[in-house]
Amino acid sequence: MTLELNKLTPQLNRMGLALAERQEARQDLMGQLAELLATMPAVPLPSDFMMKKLHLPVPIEGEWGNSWPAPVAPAVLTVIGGDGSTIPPDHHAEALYYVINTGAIIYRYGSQEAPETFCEPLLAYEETDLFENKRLITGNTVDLRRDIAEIELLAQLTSREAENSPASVALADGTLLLWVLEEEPGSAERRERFVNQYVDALERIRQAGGVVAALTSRPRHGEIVRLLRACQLHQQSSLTPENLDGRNPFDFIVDARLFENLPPGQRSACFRSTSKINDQYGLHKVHFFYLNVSREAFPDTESVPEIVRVEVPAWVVADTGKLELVHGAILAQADILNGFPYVLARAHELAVITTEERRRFAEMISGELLINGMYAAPSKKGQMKALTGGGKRSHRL
Amino acid sequence: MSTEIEVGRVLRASTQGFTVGCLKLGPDVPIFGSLVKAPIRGDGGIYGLVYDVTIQDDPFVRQLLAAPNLSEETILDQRQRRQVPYEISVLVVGYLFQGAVRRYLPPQPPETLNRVYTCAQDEVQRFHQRFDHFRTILQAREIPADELISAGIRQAAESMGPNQQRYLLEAGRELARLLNDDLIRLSSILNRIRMS
Repeated sequence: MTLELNKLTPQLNRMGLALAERQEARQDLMGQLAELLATMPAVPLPSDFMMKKLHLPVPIEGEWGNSWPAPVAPAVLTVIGGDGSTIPPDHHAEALYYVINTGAIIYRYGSQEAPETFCEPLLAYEETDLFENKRLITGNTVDLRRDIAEIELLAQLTSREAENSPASVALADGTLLLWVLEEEPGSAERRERFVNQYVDALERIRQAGGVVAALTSRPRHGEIVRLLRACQLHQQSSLTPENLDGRNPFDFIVDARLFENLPPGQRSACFRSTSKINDQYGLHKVHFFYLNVSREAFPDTESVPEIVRVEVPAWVVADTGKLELVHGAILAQADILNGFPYVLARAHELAVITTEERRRFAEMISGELLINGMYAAPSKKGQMKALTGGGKRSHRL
Repeated sequence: MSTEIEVGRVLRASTQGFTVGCLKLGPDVPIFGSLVKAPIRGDGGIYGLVYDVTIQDDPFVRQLLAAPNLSEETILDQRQRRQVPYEISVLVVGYLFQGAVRRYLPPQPPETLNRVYTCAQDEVQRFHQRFDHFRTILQAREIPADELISAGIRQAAESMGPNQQRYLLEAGRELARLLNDDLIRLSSILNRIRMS
């Protein structure tokens, strides 16, 4: 083995102690944040100008410190889960290509039938797919194309179900926001092209009468904590970018910790996302809420909260019935696996490309190239990584 | 069983036995002790007796056990859609070659992904006309041999129609000949094949 675990043990001990101390130190802070969440909704927010300038999430529901109870999902309901995975281009591989595999499952409550499952693999090898501005595309670009493939599959299936299902919810794993476009440099035209493709699919879901949402498990966002800090500073007449984003005691505290007090099945208020790319989403602007998907505890036991972040387009938030449908559907699905929607677990299983499958596919690529008279092998580095990466043995003296 | 029913496909095989994968269990398929056949080149086939049906342990299924109200849709998804096949273990007891039934090990095992079928009634009758394969079953290791031979005989007897009693008598005589040095084992097997 090359990872010498014995050398990590003392570091591990220090890590355990540090995390425990940090957790204890944050108990007081959590109390302060809970107090802010209870009181700040009653005071005026910073101005629209400041909210926009500081990229603060906008509460949509007036009493944004409240929680909303679990609705009952309809007995006849269709939930469609989708996910995707990729093999990004690797210039050390036998050839330049990438693969996107999307998986989906249609779960029809009340049908007494087995759900339908779908797998759609795509192999891209043309130079127009692999290069942008004459540079090999990155894994982030492949992820963008994967996100679009996922939402397009959800849109296709929602349209198909529209005739037979009075209520359908399309559920994606992760986010509705193409956040990669915020981080990667690229032309405005490129950003617009990707966003338009994505938003077109959201629109197709809307036109089909379905609703759509994305779910993040164990979210690491801190937007609401930041909003509370901003409201606190605003009340003290000291809200400035430097005061808000300089060092403060609430640094690194995530929203999910703040909402651990949500009772099982209940959601937080809805907020409009601060992401810059959201400005390009038009009537599909992304909003979010937090939801405790854990079950009610048995008597004399405590329920362990499982907080997820749910993103929905503006037209879902604007319609109470649609919002309740998303809320109820996610709870019904999460109840099957005690915390994670069943359709997303199955969609992931349908989409995932295992290490063994990657290896076999690489062999198929080599075989196909040989049939066509081309010798193809990984680079020397790629070969050495394959040799040294698995089956490590310790040297015995 | 009067007609052939597809059981599944060969997952792995050796000369002595093979494993069949299938996506779902039916009311008649597969049955412990039943005679199945994996067709091979030409009109040949390899005969075997089903001695085990396994449902693989699956961590995903374990998660579902805690669900308070498991819906029919979830159960059907797990049984019909997930690629977790049932594995049916088969002991090879003979083969068909150029129209003749041979009740000893074949020269080669069936190939991977060959379909496997239950045998039609006439084929079951034909195979069980002789008892040469009894020794193969009795000497097989790491399988429930006594249960298998008893179940095989019971099912063969059911296919014999009016000749059922005569078949059972002859099968019993053959067992007595083979197990004359192990009367306890013989008695145990004979008790199991006693038909009501």
